[in-house]
Amino acid sequence: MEKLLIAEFQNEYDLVDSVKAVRAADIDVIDAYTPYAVHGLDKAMDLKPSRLTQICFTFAFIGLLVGVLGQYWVSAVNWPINIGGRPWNSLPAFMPVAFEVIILFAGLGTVFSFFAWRRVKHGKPGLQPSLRATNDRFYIVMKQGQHRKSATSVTEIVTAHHGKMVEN
Amino acid sequence: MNEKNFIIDPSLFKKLTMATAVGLITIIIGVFASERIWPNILLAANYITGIGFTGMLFVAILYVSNAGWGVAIRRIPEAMFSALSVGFILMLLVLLGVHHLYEWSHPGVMVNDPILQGKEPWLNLPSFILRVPIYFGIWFLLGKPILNHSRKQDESGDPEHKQKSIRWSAAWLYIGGIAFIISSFDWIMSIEPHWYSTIFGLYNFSGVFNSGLAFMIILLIYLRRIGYIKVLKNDHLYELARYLFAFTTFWVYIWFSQHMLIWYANIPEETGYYLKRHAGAFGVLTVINILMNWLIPFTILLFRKSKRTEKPLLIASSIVLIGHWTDLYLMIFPPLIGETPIFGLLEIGVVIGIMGVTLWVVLRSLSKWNLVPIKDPYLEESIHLHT
Repeated sequence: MEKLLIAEFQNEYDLVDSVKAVRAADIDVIDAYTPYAVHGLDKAMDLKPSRLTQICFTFAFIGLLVGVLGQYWVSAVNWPINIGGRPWNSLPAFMPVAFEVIILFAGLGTVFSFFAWRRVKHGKPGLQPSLRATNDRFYIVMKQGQHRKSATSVTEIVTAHHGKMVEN
Repeated sequence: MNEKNFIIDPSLFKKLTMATAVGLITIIIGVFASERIWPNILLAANYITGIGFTGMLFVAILYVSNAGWGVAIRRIPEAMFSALSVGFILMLLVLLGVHHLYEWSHPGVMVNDPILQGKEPWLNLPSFILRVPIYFGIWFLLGKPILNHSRKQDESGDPEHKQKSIRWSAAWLYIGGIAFIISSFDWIMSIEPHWYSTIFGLYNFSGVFNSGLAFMIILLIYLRRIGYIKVLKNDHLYELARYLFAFTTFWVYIWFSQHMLIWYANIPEETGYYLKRHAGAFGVLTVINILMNWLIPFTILLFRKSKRTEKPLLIASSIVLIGHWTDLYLMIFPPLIGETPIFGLLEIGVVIGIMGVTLWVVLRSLSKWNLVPIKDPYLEESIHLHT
């Protein structure tokens, strides 16, 4: 396996600037580890938008169908009950329940899709360069690019942005 | 900072003056020619008051939440606040036509109706007239210090102004908000004095906030296109669009809450409101109303990209602005004009007048001060907004 390069930073601004500089020098940034979500990092790393939103929408739509059709089946087909003389198939009355079912499906569906997608399971060890990535330090993990042209070394770029290389 | 101050283009100024004149002439002719002018004036008054109200509401929310992102664009909602004065004038005009609009203002009707008798302590002419300046007085007097502090800060740069604005904003949100809710009961809900809905003020507010946000987005994009407010990034529009996206959903949530509870309880004195609005051509308009205020802008703004791009944002905002007019039309007109909705010359004239005078007042107010609060402590943060 290829050797990975890890750099450590004191704050988010250095991290984002450094990611930009490192990428400009044809080095692949594999991932960044930060204690919290850093604004602008996704743009600097050129990450594609997550497709989790589409999964969420799909589940919500299934939830809508289940909510409306389920209630229709219950109150108009299987066991019609006359409530205040209203028609059995009363859409306004179905709406609140359908709304809740949408939220249930969208919420649980998105979370479990995420778990399945990233293969998260109980007891899986956390993957991070250092435990301080969850507290007060910022890390980027890099790999030498295949077609590297720039001559500047990674260490030079990182030290120029007030960071230091970490042995691994 | 090299933001130049805003100057109204003379040809635009001429167009806006003409539009305002069209509205004014329509109102003058209408007063003598048709009773239908009164609901139109009431609609215009509510629409323009809503724009002004949202302006200060937005500024106050920025202050109270200690938000940094909106500072660079804060002068636009501040300028929108000046539309409130036009709303006030129109509302005074409405007072002249009280008898054409409000059933309860006729003493004869009042005496023979035991239900209206019970509401008489609130719904009587003297107190109704008195409450109009009280509402506007609350909005003006609590809002004016916020504007003044903002402008003084442009000169001195003293952060103390911001602290004071936060306190005024909290007061404005609390008292001004309650005043808005009660004013919607007064001005719109009391057109049908037998009917009542406790959520009505909130329902009116949700539509008003939508229209104000849409107006703000359109104005910002327009200003950037003609070369002003260069600090405006798509990130700012994205934040505003998210607001609009959320509040279109809020609108339909409130609309449905009111509708479903009345449908469910099925009490005759409440269902009358919806029977009028769901029958015939008004029913079609109700569906169009939901499409324009919720489904179409919701679908457009669902995508991240369209929240950050000018064209879809302009389309969604324009639809919401027209949608809010339709919403007010459905609140005000059905009990007053019979069974079919009318969109005639009177309505067109008044709509042109609304657009003209609102833009005229807002742009004029915008040209008086720096286009960006140059010495606000959060300005840098706002310019470097990332979303």
